[in-house]
Amino acid sequence: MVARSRWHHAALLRRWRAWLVTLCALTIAVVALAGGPPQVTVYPERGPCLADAATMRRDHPKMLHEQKHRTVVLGERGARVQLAQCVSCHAGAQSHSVVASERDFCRACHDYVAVKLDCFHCHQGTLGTQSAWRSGEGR
Amino acid sequence: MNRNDSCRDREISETDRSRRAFLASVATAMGAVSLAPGIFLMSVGHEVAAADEGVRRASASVRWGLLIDATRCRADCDACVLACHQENGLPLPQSSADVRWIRKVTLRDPKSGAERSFPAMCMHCAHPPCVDVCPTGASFKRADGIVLVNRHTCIGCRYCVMACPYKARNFVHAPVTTQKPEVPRGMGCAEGCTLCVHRVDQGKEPACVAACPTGALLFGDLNDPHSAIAQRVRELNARPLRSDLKLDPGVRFFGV
Repeated sequence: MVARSRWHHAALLRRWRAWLVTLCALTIAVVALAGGPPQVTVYPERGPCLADAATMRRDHPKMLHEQKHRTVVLGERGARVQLAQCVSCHAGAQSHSVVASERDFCRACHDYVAVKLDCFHCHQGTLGTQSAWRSGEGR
Repeated sequence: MNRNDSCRDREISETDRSRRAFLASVATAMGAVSLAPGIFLMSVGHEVAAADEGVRRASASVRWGLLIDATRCRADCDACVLACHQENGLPLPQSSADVRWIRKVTLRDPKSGAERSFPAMCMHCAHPPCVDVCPTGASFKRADGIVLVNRHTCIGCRYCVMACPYKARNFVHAPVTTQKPEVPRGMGCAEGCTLCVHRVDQGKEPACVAACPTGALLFGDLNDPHSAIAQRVRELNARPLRSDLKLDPGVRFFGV
């Protein structure tokens, strides 16, 4: 009785192990096929970026961090690094934004690496929002 | 003997002088490096970088100011307020919690019944209390005298809102989605009139000044004695509000 039960358990365990191995293999296959950093759309017709993609990916926080002091405190305008310029080049063709949808330029990567994206709580991340005021007279 | 001595004295003293001059220059250079090496190197670095890129900066030789002539301001006009809200992407105020960077104030003398109406905003003080009380250094005065909030460092403590004797600071209570690209602003930060710093840096005057139909507002450099504003301030003897506080505001009033 006891012996048969043990045999029964061993068989169950073997079957489960097979299932587990299959599941792991499947997961790995899915991750390998669908995973990796998100593929974001770039628009070459909108002009060249400040640097190559690898440099921008690595250094854009540093560039923005340095520029924000220069612009806000020192009053330097027309700088090479400008968040508004980033938005105007990288805004999605449908959303006109870098943060509105999950596939938009800034948000896609920041979601993937789980880094909080604070910039657009204050900065305008969507193009055309200003048009209502822009068309007003006197400016 | 005597003549020889005096000759030698003079030679020595001349040599001494050149040595002293050399030592003094070396000592000055060493002093500058050893007393404040960080500041010294940083300032040189910034100057070089700015010169390289041909970038213009807020200059300490300028003191931007406003002259508000209350005798020309009409009580029924709010063109400056509307222009401010349009220019800076501020929603038109519905409740007391909404931000107002500029507001129309009406003063009434209870004895004579005489009324004066004029706009009031951040006075861009030379000694701003909002800057004194800010625990993070977010509230600051730019080199050209414009008082701003650096929203990157503001923690929303609202000390500046309490400290300002002119009630010029506001707090953003609700999330903002309608910012203009040139005027970033968002929930959780204190803010106030920026003297339209984005326009001033482009060589334009603030939106309220451009919108005023009666020319009651005049913008310019108070430091330049030949500027229109400096001449008019001198002519009218325009004074700041609450000059007893000795904050040296950049906004001057006439006829209040």
